[in-house]
Amino acid sequence: MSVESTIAIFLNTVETLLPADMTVAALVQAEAADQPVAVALNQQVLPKRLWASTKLQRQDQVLLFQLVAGG
Amino acid sequence: MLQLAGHSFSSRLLLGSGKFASPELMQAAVTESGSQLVTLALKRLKPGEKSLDLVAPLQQAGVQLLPNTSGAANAREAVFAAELARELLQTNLLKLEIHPDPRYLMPDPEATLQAARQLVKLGFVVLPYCSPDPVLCLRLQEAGCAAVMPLGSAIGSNQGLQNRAMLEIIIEQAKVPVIVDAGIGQPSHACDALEMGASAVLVNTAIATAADPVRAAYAFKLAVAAGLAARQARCATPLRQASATSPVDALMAYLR
Repeated sequence: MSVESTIAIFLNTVETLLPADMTVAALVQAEAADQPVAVALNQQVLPKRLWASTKLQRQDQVLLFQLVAGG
Repeated sequence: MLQLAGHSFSSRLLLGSGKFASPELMQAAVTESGSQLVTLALKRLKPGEKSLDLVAPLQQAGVQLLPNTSGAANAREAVFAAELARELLQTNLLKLEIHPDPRYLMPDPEATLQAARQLVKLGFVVLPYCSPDPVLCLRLQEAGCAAVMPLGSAIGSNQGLQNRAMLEIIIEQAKVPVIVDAGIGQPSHACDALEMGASAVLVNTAIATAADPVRAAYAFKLAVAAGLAARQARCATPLRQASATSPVDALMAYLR
């Protein structure tokens, strides 16, 4: 039996292939290392303390947000 | 002191961080302005796009960060943006703004009031950007907002206080601080707002897009301090006729 090695999620609305079992923490590290971001998983804000324990599932919708200048 | 829920600020000048040519210039202007409260916005991260670090220079400048909900078109989006901002900055302070119309960026009063009620229940210190409408400002105050932020004129328009009469009523009725936001284009506009009794002003475009933003920040700092001092001094009110400041009788009476 083969082990599925990748899953497809939607990262900021773009379909993206990721290693299976990837956590949100690992995704943030890969996409936005060293900059402060907030994460929404399936339209819910995901607190930082849950990133390491949250494994991404097939078809998950992940949005990453950053701070920018604004009035 | 400007009191916003449990937070106290000696400066009456809030700054927006948008439109500066560089983070360094923004940091220098913030420092020069004496502001202690600076707004930031949220944006979806574009993978691969290198972003400028704004938080570190602002934190080095020792200011409290005030995230806004700009980009939200309705109450639901504003509450979502607020929760993201709280997660990112670990602050309950929030500038609520909902302005779906891109031409005039006028705040949606119904959506703003609806979002304000929800956000107060969620524990946010809500500072709503709103129309200069005295009834709306009372409703926002009743909803538990920590301040109201009526606009002087359209965002970035530099037109100053185009609704003086309404702002005067808002200030008279308010039990929470009134922070005049948007449209303040000159230091004299900021001074005017403080003289009228506003607790503070929020300035962005006028400073950020000045030829010399640091000098402009200094000018606004002085203007806000002057307006506050004038208010505290209870300077004389206008009269319909002259009132002599020098003796006008007796000196040359023998010539008449």
